[in-house]
Amino acid sequence: MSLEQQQRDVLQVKRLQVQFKTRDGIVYAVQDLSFHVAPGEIVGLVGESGCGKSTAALALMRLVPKPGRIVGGSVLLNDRDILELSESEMRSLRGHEVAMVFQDALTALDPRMTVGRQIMEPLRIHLKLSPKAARERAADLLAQVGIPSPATRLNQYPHEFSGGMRQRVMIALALSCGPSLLIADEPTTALDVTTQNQILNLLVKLKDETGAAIVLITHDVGVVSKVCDRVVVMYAGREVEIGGTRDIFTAARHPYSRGLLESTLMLDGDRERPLEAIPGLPPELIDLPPGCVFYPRCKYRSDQCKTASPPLEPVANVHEAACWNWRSLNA
Amino acid sequence: MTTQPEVLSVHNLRTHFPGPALGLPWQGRTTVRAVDDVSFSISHGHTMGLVGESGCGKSTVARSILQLVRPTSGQVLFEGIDLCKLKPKALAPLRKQMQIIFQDPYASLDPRATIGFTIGEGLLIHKLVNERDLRQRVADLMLMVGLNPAFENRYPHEFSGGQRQRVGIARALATNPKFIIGDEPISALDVSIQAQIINLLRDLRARLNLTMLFISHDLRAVRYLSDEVAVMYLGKIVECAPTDLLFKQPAHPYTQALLNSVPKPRWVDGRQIAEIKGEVPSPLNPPSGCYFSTRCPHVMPRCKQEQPALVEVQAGHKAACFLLNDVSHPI
Repeated sequence: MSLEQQQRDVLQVKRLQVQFKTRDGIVYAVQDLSFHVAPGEIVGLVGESGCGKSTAALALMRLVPKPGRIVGGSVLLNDRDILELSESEMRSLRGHEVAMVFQDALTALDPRMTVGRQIMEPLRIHLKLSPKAARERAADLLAQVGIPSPATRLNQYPHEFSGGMRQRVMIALALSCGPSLLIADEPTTALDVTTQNQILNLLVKLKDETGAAIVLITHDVGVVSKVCDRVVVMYAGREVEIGGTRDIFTAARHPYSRGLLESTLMLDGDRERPLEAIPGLPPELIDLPPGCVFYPRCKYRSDQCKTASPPLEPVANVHEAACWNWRSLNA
Repeated sequence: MTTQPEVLSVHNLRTHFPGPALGLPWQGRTTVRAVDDVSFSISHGHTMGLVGESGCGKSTVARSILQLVRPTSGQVLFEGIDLCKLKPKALAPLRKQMQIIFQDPYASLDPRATIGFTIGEGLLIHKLVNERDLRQRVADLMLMVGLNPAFENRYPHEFSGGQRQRVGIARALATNPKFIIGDEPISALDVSIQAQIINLLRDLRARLNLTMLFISHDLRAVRYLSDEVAVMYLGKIVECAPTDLLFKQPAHPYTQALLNSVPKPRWVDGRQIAEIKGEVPSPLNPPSGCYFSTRCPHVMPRCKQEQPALVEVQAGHKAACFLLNDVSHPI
């Protein structure tokens, strides 16, 4: 890969802001989210429920449901800002240049349509394949994601597939038109651990084969450590830390990232010692107080944190954290 | 294993459910062997972890112990009394000794009852306090699980998932039970909240000298909470050992596969462990011989014909696999 290609990111998100106008006030679901993804790279968006990671994923497809609205920032997909596109231009992009894998394959697939028809649909629409060619391509795709006897399986309905197989169908569907970006929103959360392992390995294998970039949304720190090249840690709609996966796991500089890692259950380590739980609860995203969103739960807080929200600043090579006191967190 | 008396012992427990009809009315129905010949015991003050993937029968074991479903055969001895033989009336007074914490903190609380009522209801039913002392006792319980007693008149929807799970724990502890079952009590919670609840359960267990059965699909959670672990696959226990032993020297290929499937950081585990193939077979139609033979990397002809029995690998460590018979227990 040449240097020029390396520098050409598939996705560049800059200061993305999503808000929901509700009766009770404005919900700041995503605030100033910025990151980029290179071809063949897996970037994880990690955080707990309500941190805005799924809303961010939907925003990348311009699918934020009402009353949500993207109010600021830009989303450059192959150097084109998708926030400027018309709805019809956007439709020709979805499923073609950018595709999505959802958490729950049973609700994401149409129960009344055979799996074959569902995979053929984008091939017919975006790639204008003939019915015969689309069918052949669909069978190839099923084989590629590891579904045995693909020709027969094409004629079956989603309920005839097991959970893991359904998720494979979703991945085949998402990859059908050769997207340059795949957004996977908790793709393995509903699966058992042995199946989860299979699906994660499959995603990595397909990414290596196709060179697609992947944005992986997950709450599972273990999944991130297994497959992601870089990580964005989100808390209360904000990006609190971004960096290489290993850097974040071994030298997190934001107190929330560190708390999240320390409270994660491990297969090794001292099991007699109490876990380092983060006290308290995440804040409501309505009318956030000024200052750092993590202030009420933070061990390292100081007076400054109460009044001013910390910006992301570099803490190491390609590693940024949004904390006034990151220097007091030892690497 | 210990000199402590056994609080609970389960012998050859079988719980079968009628499955779909075979076809014509006189052909009868299939049988789902949800729990098939399960035996274990828990001594006073100890915690047994029961781990397995969805559909392996671990929740049915819990429900069978508490007689929420009546087992098909076998014994459930609670302090020497066989619960399976008791009529509902005789069972009722024993119920205060055995309580359960459910997985879903949303579905397991009555949305129309205040949490004070939910926590105190068992006390009134079992006539453990009079109306005058009820409020004080409920307040004590709320303090014990880390809830503010001032919230006693609030409704479940006003609480977060973690707080609701605390309500579920307070309700289970209200009647001063000797034995508690936790059926996936942390699975629905966020990582940082999971750690809080695990710490709370460990603390309460030590303070109240509780005997516990902890059910989870998450090996990591089981490791933090259990003294002993039993691994289930398709209704059977395939391995059972003290926690540290099971995690350090898993003997059964399925246990090994489960442990290998837990996502690990790429930089820690450079070598690719072969993933386990396939999925759990349908319990309606389990394979002949060893149930794991369809997925086992070490499968031998014998495994397809006979079912391996649970045998002792070393003191306190049992597993059901012919490989072990051949190595350490030649026949």
